Amino acid sequence: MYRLAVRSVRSRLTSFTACGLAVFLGATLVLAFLTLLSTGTAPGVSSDDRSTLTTMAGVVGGWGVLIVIFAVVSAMQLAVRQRSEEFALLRTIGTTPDQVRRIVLGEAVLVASVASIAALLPGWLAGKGLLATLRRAHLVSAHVHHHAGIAPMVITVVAMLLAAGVAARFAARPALAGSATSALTASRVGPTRLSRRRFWLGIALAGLGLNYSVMAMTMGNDDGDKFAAMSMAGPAVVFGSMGLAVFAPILLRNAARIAGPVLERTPVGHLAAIAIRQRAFELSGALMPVIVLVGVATGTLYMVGIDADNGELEAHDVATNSTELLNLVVVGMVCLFAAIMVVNALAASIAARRREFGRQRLAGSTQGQVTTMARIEAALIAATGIVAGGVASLAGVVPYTIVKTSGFLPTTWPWLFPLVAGLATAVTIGATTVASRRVLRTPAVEAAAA
Amino acid sequence: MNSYEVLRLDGVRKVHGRGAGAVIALSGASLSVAAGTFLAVMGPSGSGKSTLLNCAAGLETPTEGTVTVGGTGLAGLDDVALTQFRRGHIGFVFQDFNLLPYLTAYQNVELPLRLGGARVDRRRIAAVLDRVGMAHRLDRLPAQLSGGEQQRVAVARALVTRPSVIFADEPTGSLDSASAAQVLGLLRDAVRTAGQTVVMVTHDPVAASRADSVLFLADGELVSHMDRPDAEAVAQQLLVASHRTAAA
Repeated sequence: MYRLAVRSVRSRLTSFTACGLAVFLGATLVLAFLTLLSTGTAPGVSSDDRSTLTTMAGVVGGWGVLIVIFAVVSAMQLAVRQRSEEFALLRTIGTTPDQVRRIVLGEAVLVASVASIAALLPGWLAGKGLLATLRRAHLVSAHVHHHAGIAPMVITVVAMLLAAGVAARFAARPALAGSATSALTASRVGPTRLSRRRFWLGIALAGLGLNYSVMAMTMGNDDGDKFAAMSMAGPAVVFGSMGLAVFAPILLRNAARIAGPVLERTPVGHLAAIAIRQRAFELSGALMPVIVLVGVATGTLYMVGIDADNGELEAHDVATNSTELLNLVVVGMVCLFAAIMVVNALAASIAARRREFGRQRLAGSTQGQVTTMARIEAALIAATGIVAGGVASLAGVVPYTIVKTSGFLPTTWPWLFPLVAGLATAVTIGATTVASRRVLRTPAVEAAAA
Repeated sequence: MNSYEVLRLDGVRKVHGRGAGAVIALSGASLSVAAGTFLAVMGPSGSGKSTLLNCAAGLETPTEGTVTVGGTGLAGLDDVALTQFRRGHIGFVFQDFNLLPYLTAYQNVELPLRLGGARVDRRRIAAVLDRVGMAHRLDRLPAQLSGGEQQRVAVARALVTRPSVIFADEPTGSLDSASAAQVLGLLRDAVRTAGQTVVMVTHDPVAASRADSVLFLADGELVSHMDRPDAEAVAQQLLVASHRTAAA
């Protein structure tokens, strides 16, 4: 019994760690940019330096924050949804919906505050590092000193708490709706269609993305501000990706339908196809970060690429080159964050399937068959994410290309999208394989009873 | 009824852990089960019932001793071979059903055949589900079924491969008495009409009384044996076994 309890805590620990990691890395990223902002607005900074720092914090930090919030929300959703059966059970033994809500909220706030407070020092250091890079690239004068007051830290922690709390509250809704027993059945079957609320959220996000797209196209050519196009094309990609990510379950289910004839040729593929169709909502927790990773990486890196290409045509001045380098560093940071979130989500989603894998083995699946099934799911998740993310990236890439060059699609870096797609696939399948093997170490009987 | 042996355990010992903290779950159990019989294994909790069942079914590897199912020795089979063997030759019914949540009743029953790569005959699956009285619920997910219904699907899944032995671990432990009686009836029927062999672990004397014979386990040892049991005698014997455990 003791071992069982340890296992249960450990499997839950994975999802809590996943949430904590999302908050921790997210807070680090957000705080780094916020300290740039406070450095720029500190007294005694020249107006040129001020505009460089605030633009940088505003342009890149702005959509970086969006991605961070998205990551925290989706990690929290995953963690709470995995436990909806437990919450429904609590209700059947007399816990009121309000009490359950308080438990969920309490856990979310606890995880988010510990993780965001832990991120204060790394975030401060990252901001200092960014500023040092800016100084070295002569983008700001050597006299600018890193100035991070208490405000950026408070804002970071509060933002993380809000994101985590609101996400947890919404994620717990299905377990709290209806009677206790109907919630229990619903939590075991899982949702089968998008809620109206979710549908409109997706439409709103995609609409925002398109809006930014149009703005980038019409106002991006402002000569006075060389960041104008990027400051609109960036959010276009981020909102577009998030909008499509909201529809992830529908995308995944259709992908499984399309891939069905191929999958059904093998017994394990057949099982995977059924599992994906039936559990599209649970698995989409892993798909959402993949869409955002592919969309944002493709979109922003192409923008950097187009700028680099234009820079070569113009003068080879030091400032242009170092701006590009810096763009690459900053965009790279955000992409790396998105990639870690993919691994994070996959690890959490596989860890939560310990019991299911155990049952599958007791029903006669070899360990190899279980891993293969998880890999097939991962491959489908990767493929769906690449297509959806690729489409979302167009929301920023097309306007940016139109504004900056004479074409519609970038001609620079033709290898970039295949590279992003390849890396996303490798990360998705790799993380799934490692996580599955870890879960499979538990003997089948024990895992099935966990 | 034929009397050839489908399950044989020779001196099966199972020790969990090592050194001073080692726990002996099973200390040298030997038994033989003839085809077409229904055997119940009883004992107080902690007597090693589940360990015995898991070792016999190849879910746990004995520390010592050998297990032979349908003439095949389980020792020396690796995990893949063991899984494949189980899939074809052993059926399972667990206390908490262990159906896959995302598969319908039909798909759950079909699963062992699918995993084995066999061409699946829809009529065969439907016939088995009909036998357990679940023909009208083929397309339901486990969460949409009652406990009794889930266990009947689990029995169908165990029957579908026509295994050498069906192992049932407290199959009625999570059921109300009416559903329990139904599930026991199905197991009984599988033995009588289809010539299946069932080994069932239970702590319920009423459940055990439906078997052809009962083995009593205490402290990891087989202590007694009863043929054509009735519930009262089983309960009496169980009490004796419990006292033995308490005295030890």
